[in-house]
Order: sequence, then C-alpha cells, then structure tokens
Amino acid sequence: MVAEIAEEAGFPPGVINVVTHAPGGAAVIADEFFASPDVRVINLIGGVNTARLLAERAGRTLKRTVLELGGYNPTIILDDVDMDYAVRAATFGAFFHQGQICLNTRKIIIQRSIHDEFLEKFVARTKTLPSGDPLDPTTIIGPLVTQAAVDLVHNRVKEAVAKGAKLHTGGTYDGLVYQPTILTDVPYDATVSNEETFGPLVIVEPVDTAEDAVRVANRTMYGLTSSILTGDTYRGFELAPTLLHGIVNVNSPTVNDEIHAPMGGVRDSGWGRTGPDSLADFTDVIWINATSDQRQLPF
Amino acid sequence: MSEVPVRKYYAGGQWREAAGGAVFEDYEPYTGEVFARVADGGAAEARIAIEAAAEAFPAWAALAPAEKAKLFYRAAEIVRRRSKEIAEILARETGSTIPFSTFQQEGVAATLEQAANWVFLPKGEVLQSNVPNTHSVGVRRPLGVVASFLRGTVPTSCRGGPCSTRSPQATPSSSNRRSSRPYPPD
Repeated sequence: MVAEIAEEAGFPPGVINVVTHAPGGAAVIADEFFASPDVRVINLIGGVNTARLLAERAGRTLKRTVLELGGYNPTIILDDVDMDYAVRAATFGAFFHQGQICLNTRKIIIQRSIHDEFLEKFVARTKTLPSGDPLDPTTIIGPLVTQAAVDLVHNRVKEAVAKGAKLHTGGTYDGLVYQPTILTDVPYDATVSNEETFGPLVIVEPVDTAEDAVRVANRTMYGLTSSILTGDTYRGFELAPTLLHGIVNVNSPTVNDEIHAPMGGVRDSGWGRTGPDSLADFTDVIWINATSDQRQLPF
Repeated sequence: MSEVPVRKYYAGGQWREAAGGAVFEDYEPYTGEVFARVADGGAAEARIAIEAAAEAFPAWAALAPAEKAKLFYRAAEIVRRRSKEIAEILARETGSTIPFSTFQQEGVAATLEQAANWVFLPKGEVLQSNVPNTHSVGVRRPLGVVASFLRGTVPTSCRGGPCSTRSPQATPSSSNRRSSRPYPPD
C-alpha cells in the first residue's frame, strides 16, 4: 500500500522503495543493509530482541540506529478515580486491536481499597466485548495476526496459571481469535510479568500507595508509555515525572496518540521519537563558519 | 473469492518480481485463506532498493520544500480517498478491526499532512562566535539512505524522506515497506 501511494502521489523513483520477504527472510536483507556504505540509518519498529541484534551490528559498522520498540505499559489507578471511567480506560487500553499495539496496557496497578470493585467491573465489561470477524464493523476483538502469536499468548497464560496466577476471564481461543484475558496474582517470575506479550492479555495488581504503584510501574526495563488515572489531575501531573516511561498520560489510556508529539521509548523501549523531533534522528548537525578577516594564527 | 493477487516489490519506481519469480503466501488470519502471493525478496532485491535510494538521494535532498510538501499532501489525499478500501485490506490481511483500521488511516493521512509542513521548519541555527566578522551556523543535513524494518501487526505510516523498507512478513501488502528512503525533507 505504501509503495502504491508513493507511486501515485508522484514521489520520484527511488525515494521510497519496498522489499517484501517471506517469514524468516529478514536476515539476508539486513546483511545487505549493513554491508552498504550508502545506508546510514537502521530504523526498526519491532521487538527488543531484534533491536539488540541490529544495534550490535550497527555498532560494528557505525551506522545510526533509530529504534522504536515494545513496552510493558502500566496503568496506575488511584483511589480517588471515577470508577466507570477507570473501567472504560482500562478496557480500551488493554484490548484495542486485541492487544497488538505497542502502546497497549500490560499491567493495571490499582490501590487496594478499590481493587475488588474495579476487578469485578473490569471483568464484566471485558466479557461484553464482541469478538470474531474483523470485517464486521461491530467486532472489537479480531484475530491475532498469526498462529504463532496465538501460541505465544496462550503459552504465557498457561505458564502464569501454572505458577499460581488466577484467570478471571479469557484464556481460550477460537481459530486465531483470542478471548480478552485478565490475570491476577501473577508471580514476578512468570514471563508475562516481565515481557511484552502482544495479545489481549492484562494483569491487575493491587498496591497500597501511589508510591508503591510507581515502583511496580518501573519494575521492568521497558519504558514506552504509561497512564495515571486519578480524580486529582494535579496529583497525577506531579507523579508523572517519576514514571520511567517515554510517555505519561494523566487521565488518558496508555493508547494515546498525537501526530506532532514526541512519542517514543526510554530504556529497553528504544529511542526513536515521532513528530518533528524525528527529524533530528535522521540528520546530522554540521557546523559551518565563515570569517571575512584573516585569522591571527599561532604560527 | 476472486483469483489470488500477486504482489511485486517496489524499487526505483518500478514494480518488480523477486529473482526467479520467488513468492510466498500471505494468509488472512481470520479465514486462513491465501490473501496474496507476495514477492519473496532477498539480498539481490535489497541491493536494488539500496542502489535506487542512493541514486535518488541527492536530487531528493535538493528538491524545493514546496515541491516536497505537494507530494506529501497528495499522498494524504490518496489515503483519504482510498480509506475504506485500505481499511478492508488491513482487516483481511492483518485481522485489525474496521474501526481500528479506519482510525489508523486517519492517523496516516494526518501524519502525511504534518510532514508536508515539516519541510518548512528551520534547518539550523545561527550561532555566536568569538571571532569578529564571522558568520557561524549549525545546519541539519540528511544522513543518507534509511533502512527501515517494519513488522506487520500494526498498520502505521511511513515518515519522511528516501527509504528502503523491508516489509513485515506477516502483512506485506498493507505495510508493504522495508524502504530505503533518502530521509529527511532536508
């Protein structure tokens, strides 16, 4: 599609090129990119493991990398929140595009005093989400992109449950449509506690204080997006800088987007930025100076 | 279901078959049917894309900002005009729901429109100098060919100038881009 649009819009030949390849075929293409002195930037929108491989090779060849990676995105819910809004924001944040957006909420961290009420309402709302044919305009939960994606989500759910997690809804699939899944009591050594899981899967974890919530939110090395839901917007704004994430949304879900905003990650979520800030990622600053006098030189 | 379309790859302004006519099958996640047969690119195709981008780079960097802006605006118009069709392709090929696909198209068009204006942003700064009668500036210069790796779970937009994109294997038609783009709008 991108190439078709570029062609029809009249972009000069060679300005935009698109090479497609079969699954598993990226490595030989990457070899060419690294071998060519003309290629100055390696840009990846993808996963952290691929990013490490590319960044290592870019180090050897001294090419710049612009990496836009995944996240382990927390939503913090404080006890002064509007409960219905919190439930709506959590449902959207966790399950939009069946959890396959890098900005989806992976963990909901909620003050203990409102945990039970929230969990009950969140599970109930999640059960109402229509799933199935993506071409049906009423569908909210469509299929995951491949069988491998379904297997990955399902294995991580099974692993968490085997380690003691409680499954409140979901955990099943039909074809490639995975039912939106809510887990609690997930031990920190379960993969899903530490790794981005690209699917409709979210963990709810109670904490006592806002400070505890921030500690949990900063537990993993990922740092893409985060959300604080609170009835006291200023309190949320004060907490925001303590979150080690590239984006902090106060009273919006983790899935939130403005074209001109500098969206991007910190730590294991990479360092690319969107908006006009992206221009700096793909340019060098050159110092040019010109003097009309002859300089006094040391010799 | 009509005949399965064959998708070529795109480099140097031409649609091309991969060496030996190699293709792979791209499946619809919901139905499991073959959505398209797509050029299976490798080293040779990557080289062609990189060379095309490198060749395009000087003229693209030198192109007047107003001319670049027109291209981005035209691309945005095409996305809006084809929005419904693109949303259906995305739904079939990636499994994204129609509301999400439609929402993404709006984002792509808005990004292109904003990019059209970024070409007019200042390209540097006038600096202080300790040397009398000196004009000192910091000027931004595009790095060169950008190689982008894109995966197919989320249909997004392509930012900026020349690129060689490698298209995500799971959804090659929608994203259809590992591009080599001579990036920025200079």
